[in-house]
Amino acid sequence: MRPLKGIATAVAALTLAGCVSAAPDDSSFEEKTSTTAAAAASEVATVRLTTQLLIEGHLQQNYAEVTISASEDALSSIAQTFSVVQPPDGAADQLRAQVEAILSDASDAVAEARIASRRDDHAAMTTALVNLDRANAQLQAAEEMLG
Amino acid sequence: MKRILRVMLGVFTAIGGFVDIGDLVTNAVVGSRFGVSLAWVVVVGVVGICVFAEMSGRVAAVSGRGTFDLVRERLGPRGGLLNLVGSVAVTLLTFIAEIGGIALAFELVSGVNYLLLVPFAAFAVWLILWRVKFSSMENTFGLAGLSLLVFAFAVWRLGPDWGELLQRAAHPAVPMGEGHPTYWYYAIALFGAAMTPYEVFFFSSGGVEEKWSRKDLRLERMNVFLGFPLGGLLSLSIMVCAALVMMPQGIEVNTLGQVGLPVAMALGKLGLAFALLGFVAATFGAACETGLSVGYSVAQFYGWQWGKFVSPVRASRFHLLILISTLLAVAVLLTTVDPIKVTEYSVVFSAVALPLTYFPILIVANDPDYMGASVNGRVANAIGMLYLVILTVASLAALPLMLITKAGQ
Amino acid sequence: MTASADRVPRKPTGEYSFDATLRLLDRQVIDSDGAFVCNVDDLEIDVPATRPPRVVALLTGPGVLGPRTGGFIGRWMVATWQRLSPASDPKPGRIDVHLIAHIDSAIHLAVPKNRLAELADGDEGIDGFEKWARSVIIGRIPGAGHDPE
Repeated sequence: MRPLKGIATAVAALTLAGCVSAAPDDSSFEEKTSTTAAAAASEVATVRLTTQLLIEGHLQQNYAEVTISASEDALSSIAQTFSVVQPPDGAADQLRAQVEAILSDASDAVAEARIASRRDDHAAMTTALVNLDRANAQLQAAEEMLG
Repeated sequence: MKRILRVMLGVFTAIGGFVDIGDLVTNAVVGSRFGVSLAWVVVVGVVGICVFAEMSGRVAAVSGRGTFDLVRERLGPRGGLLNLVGSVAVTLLTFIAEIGGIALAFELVSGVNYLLLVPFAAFAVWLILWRVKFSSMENTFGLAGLSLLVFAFAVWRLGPDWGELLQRAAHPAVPMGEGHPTYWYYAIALFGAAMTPYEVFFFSSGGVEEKWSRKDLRLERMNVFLGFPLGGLLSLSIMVCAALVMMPQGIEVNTLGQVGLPVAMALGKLGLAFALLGFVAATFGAACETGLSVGYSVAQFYGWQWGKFVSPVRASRFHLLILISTLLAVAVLLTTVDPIKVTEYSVVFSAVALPLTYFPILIVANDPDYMGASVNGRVANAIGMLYLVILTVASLAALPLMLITKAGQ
Repeated sequence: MTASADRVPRKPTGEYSFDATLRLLDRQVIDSDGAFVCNVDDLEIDVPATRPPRVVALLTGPGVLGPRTGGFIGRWMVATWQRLSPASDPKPGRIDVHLIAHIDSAIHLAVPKNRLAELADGDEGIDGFEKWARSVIIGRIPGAGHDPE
């Protein structure tokens, strides 16, 4: 069955395409860093929007918790994926360290929002909003610098 | 009066039943990344599904034959079997996505992890397919699905600059930061979501289930030509909501929770409650439709008794298929594969499989031997042929684009 | 469906004359109660020396569908069918052409499905899988005999 073989090859190729590859040179590493920053910014912005809507009473508690948790999980998997990308040289090491720090700040801010929202603590949520804004701004700056 | 009510019921259920997890996710993802620059694809897709759903409904009403009955007759056992395997695989993938969607919707309601909800969702779907009458199932989910109109209301409350919105939709441009391959990849995904093949299996077999005859053709046309475009408007409102709220904040939608956030922003808790009801109804309804479609396709191919118009013991093989599909869906979902990812793949593979379904329908709708006086007119044929070209191109381009864009990353 | 019924012309002798491949093969068979019976997977054709060939019976089941499908899949279908069948030398389902009432987009029989067993040999081939699915799984689930509500 030749068509079957074709399908098997296509499936194998698709599976492989989903995997992370080591970045062999500078521009490719920068591109990966930029994509990481954009994806992380999207999750942080989601948590920001959700927290804001929760403070304003526009959102059911369960809905907010599920949405924030999902973004937190996504963010940690983004950070995990980035941490295993091989930086090509010393300059890249520096960039990597910077982005790692920003990602770490972002996940702290997201965790803060999650904790505050579960406790329904409006004051803490408002503080978390500020930290989320800062993390988001840093991620966007990183993305724009590289992208 | 009774007749008007019947017409309205048909149109309403067609609107409410139009959107499924594929439409919910794809429209929101596209809106958040491409704004309204891909809105034209929804229009193209809706016209396509109207033309082909009308054709397959007409074939069902006049000949009393379901789609796969005809596919086998036209393509013979070998070609028919290849078509069956391809179509059923895509429909199963969609079925899995819908059951995952139900679980995700209930997770948003209850806060319980969706994996714990998957077995219950699957059992509920199976129970409905086992016990509930076809028309009750269709009407309940169709009408409940109308609560997704809250997305249209949300767009209005968000108060966009309509002129600018129309301008952007009418003069599509690839947004900054997105490449042309990604743009076209999502165009195909959106096309696949609007034209999912199971809708045709379901519509034609449903016509046989409800014993349509020539007399019902006018009603059937009303349902299609009013209900589907209005359902398409629901899809567009989901896209516009994401374009207005998520895109400016740099949010790329990748969960069902994000899909509802614009509604919460515009309309608050009550609006969101309607959106959640809509998510549940849309995914439940579509899960039932896709589950039945798997059974319909295989049973029609082999000539087995099928349908919900008889008791399960009289269509044992058909019900056995539904049971196995449901168990398979649970097994796949419990591997913790992301249902949203399954959905995204299902709409693209739907696009790949489109010609498998639409080509035989077009041939049979042109056969005076089957259709007598109800054979395709010139307009239907011209549009049908045009769409055959479009969907063949989409089908051929889908997999290469998936590889180039790494599935739209 | 009355308008399209009996489009196949009947000869004065009571016999039909038509393209059997187009009219019969791969068509749905429906019994006198409107229940779906099977698909026509193959035809049994009698070829007398003096007269034109005649269709004698409709055949159904993996045993005849397999060879028509051909290739690896076809052989596999036949092998599975032989292996799973309760009979040691299973025969395909067979419906005598005399049982056909009329032909339109489907083939309508003059008898109900459950009488096919006494009217023909090789009946296991028609409903074997259905009976197995009913007795082993579907019939045991509560509510299997009820019409949907």
